[in-house]
Amino acid sequence: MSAEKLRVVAIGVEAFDQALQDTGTPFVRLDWKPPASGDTDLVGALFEIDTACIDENGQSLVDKANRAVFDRILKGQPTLRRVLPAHQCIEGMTRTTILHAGPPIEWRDMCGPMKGAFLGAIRYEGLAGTDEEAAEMMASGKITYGPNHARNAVGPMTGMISYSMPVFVVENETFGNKAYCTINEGIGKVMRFGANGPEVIERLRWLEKEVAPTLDEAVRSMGGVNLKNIIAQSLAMGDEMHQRNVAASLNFYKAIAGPLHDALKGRENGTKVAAFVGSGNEQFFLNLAMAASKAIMDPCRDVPHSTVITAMSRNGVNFGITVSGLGQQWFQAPCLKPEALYFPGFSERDANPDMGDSAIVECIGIGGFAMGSAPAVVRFVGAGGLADAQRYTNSMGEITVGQNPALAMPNMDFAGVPTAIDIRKVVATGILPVINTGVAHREPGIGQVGAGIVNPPMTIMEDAVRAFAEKYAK
Amino acid sequence: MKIKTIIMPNSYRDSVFLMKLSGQAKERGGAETVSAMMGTPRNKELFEASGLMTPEIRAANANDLVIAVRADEDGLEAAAAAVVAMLEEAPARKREDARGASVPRTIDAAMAADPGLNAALISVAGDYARYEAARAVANNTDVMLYSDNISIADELALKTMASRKKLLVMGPDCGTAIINGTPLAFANHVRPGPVGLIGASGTGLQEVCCLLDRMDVGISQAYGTGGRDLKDDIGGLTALTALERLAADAGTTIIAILGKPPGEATRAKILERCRGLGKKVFMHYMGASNYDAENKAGIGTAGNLTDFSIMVARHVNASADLDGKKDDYPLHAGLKPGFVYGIFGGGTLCQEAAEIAAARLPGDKFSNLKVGGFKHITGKDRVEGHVFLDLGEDEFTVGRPHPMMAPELKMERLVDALCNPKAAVALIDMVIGYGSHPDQANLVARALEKADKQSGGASRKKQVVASVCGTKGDAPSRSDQVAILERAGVVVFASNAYAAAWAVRAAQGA
Repeated sequence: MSAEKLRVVAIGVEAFDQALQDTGTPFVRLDWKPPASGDTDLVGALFEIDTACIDENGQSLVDKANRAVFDRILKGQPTLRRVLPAHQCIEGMTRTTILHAGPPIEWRDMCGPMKGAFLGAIRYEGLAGTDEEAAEMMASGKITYGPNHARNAVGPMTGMISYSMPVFVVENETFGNKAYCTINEGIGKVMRFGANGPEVIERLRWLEKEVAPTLDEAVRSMGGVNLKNIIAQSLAMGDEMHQRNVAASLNFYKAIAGPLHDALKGRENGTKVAAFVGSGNEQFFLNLAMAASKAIMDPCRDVPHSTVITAMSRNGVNFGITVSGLGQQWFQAPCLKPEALYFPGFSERDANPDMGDSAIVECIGIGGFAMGSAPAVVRFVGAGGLADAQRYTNSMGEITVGQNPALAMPNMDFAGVPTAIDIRKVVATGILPVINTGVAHREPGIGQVGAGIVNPPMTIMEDAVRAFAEKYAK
Repeated sequence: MKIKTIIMPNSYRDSVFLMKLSGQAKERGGAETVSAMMGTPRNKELFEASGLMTPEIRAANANDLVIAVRADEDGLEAAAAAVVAMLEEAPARKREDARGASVPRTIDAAMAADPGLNAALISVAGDYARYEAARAVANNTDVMLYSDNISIADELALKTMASRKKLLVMGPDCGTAIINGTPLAFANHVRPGPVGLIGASGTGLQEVCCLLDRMDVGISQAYGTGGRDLKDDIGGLTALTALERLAADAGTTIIAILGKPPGEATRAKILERCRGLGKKVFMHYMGASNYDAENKAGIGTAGNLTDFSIMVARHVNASADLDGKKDDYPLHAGLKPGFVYGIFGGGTLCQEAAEIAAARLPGDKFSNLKVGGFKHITGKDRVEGHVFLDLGEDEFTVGRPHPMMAPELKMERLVDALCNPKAAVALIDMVIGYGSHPDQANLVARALEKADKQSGGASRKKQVVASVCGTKGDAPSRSDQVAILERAGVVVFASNAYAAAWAVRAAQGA
């Protein structure tokens, strides 16, 4: 013991450095600032969590639980198994069930695009002929609605999933659970941005009748598609899989090209389906990345003592998170507006508050967390250059449990993506998760008007830390 | 008088730096008050209490550096500009290291970058220090916790976690430790050797380290525990872990434990552990009179830190002794009877001197510490009698650095005492070494000159008595500081106990 020289980490009085310097003691003086922005009650909650949640050897039960969750994320093996109508795979779907993005929200409180999407989904299901009838059904409780996340599902933007809509069925082979996400509709007037005109409904029917069965046949014939491999490959090709899915969409198409060709043989308008999957939409893979992420995160729920975030999601009004050790409880507060670049002719005034389940991808370490690996996306999301992007990724390292070596970033010296967001670290450091996001117009149906970066509100992280301390440290 | 506030967002500076800056900026800019603090809730209360609160300060947060300047209307802008200029002159905090890598901001990040870190030195405000200490323990490092304002419950929570991991939390409010040869916070340059020390917090540990060094006996470790560790509320968790470390260390053949008298249960626990150690153990609990149980177990004890150190040293070398003036140093002619003014920076040294006076000095005695036979006063009280003040107590250190770092107030008190017609003796301690003000002897010499002028020469008839806690390896060395004091007419003793004993005799007249 006495042979071991001290190596000191120092915070506070700098006058004490002299003794360390004079004795040649290696030390690092932190660039310190008060934790939790100096909120002494929150610091108290963090302190209680650290000191009360320990085992007989003084080891942190929270660190142990988080490490277990982190291992589950690393072990997750998402594979696309089927493409099926929602009612054939998602539990409890009735003809009048509609699922939406984000934490739970009442009809009367929904934003414009979300309302527009609900009305469109009701008409798409043939439950109403007009928007007025559809609105009446919503108001009178004839439609059962609730968050995707409660049914092992996710959806981008408004995130609509109704009875007949086809969904990707992604199985986490390691744990046997399944997760679901709709097929990306493409750009322009689409339901995920709240559009609900005839062409939107028509496209959804075409997806249901033409695209989904063919994709399902192709996927089934090849015994499934390994999505984790595609994510890893595409990360090395400059995608972060939230804002940019160019390589991933191409890689997916490449993987299924042969079987898809076979499945399309003899079908009328087969070329249209092939073009839709192969070249029509650079964001095609986003929905697969989301379903893969959801499949990876669901086995991480309900691990006692874990402070890892299991879902981040927005409903166009509120931003919500769930935390492993705190079960299904949502911690939510009004969404912040993204820091975004707007398409020509649009500005922040046109922006809807943040929306969608897509932030599930950041939960496994891609999207904004992997920005350092996606130079092409950097300027678009408002960062200055590659160094800024790498700084984003590095700072996410300060609020996560570890790095996922299976998702390596070549231009970050092959570091694994920062994985498993720890609410304790978020609150202590004041560093919020970075989410790459698209910005919807606040009027239904106009579509995407920009893209940028958004953070969850800090208050939900703080509320979750307080609730955690109340549950585990009192 | 007008108040101007300056808020510098996201600019953490440590409290000692800011307190020194406040004092110097006040002199340089001609303000009535300059108060520079971080905008924590606790500091805001201080701004409120001192009448400096403004809406800007109320809106500031703990990351903001807040400066309040109070001056007359004409001088306000200049005084405020002086503070800002001084801040700009001070070296900026490092955000990048020599290789351009960014400096870590948290203990977790530092540990991730260098898993070899094995100790944390923490001296930020207590509300945050407890959390940082917990992070350090979670990362498997020992902790030196200089910070105070940490509750007993929080101390127990921290130490319980640390103790289960066999880690040390030295503190809170721990001023001194020397671990594996590295001095942490206030400490002296002492030689390595066979004695492993465990001490409560501060100057008691320094005094014993230095006295041993001056008798050519070195130490293996000096572990601080914080002043409350031996209370039954805490149960000696740090002391017991430290004992295990010393038990396992082949280089430690002698163990010396010092502190205030422990709680009964804790005292028994410590004694029980010491029985089975197979090493020679010495104990000194300041103010305790009954050591029957310890002595029966073969543990050596003594009445004060000086006798204790000599006893320990003689276990190594039978002829060990201290050089310099001792309590039997002859009184010189012309000493008139009067009051003793003991003015201390070291709490344990003040306590020890007062205990010595309690037994041997007749008349009314006052102290801001708890001492048997003394009446309790605060630093503001003016009383007729012998006075022993510890200027390191909280009442003197709110918004001001510890007197060992910034002895200005101590010097003011010294001048006051020497100008007091009823004073016969001024008794001071001087703790030198790492962390301490680098040239206290010359400050004392200047204070004596000032008293001389202020009293029209009357102060020259009073005797200033001092001990210097330090070693020849300190910079400046103990002998350099002693020489300056002696040139100024101060009688300097080999130890604090000797100085106190002689001062008590001198105050009763030759």
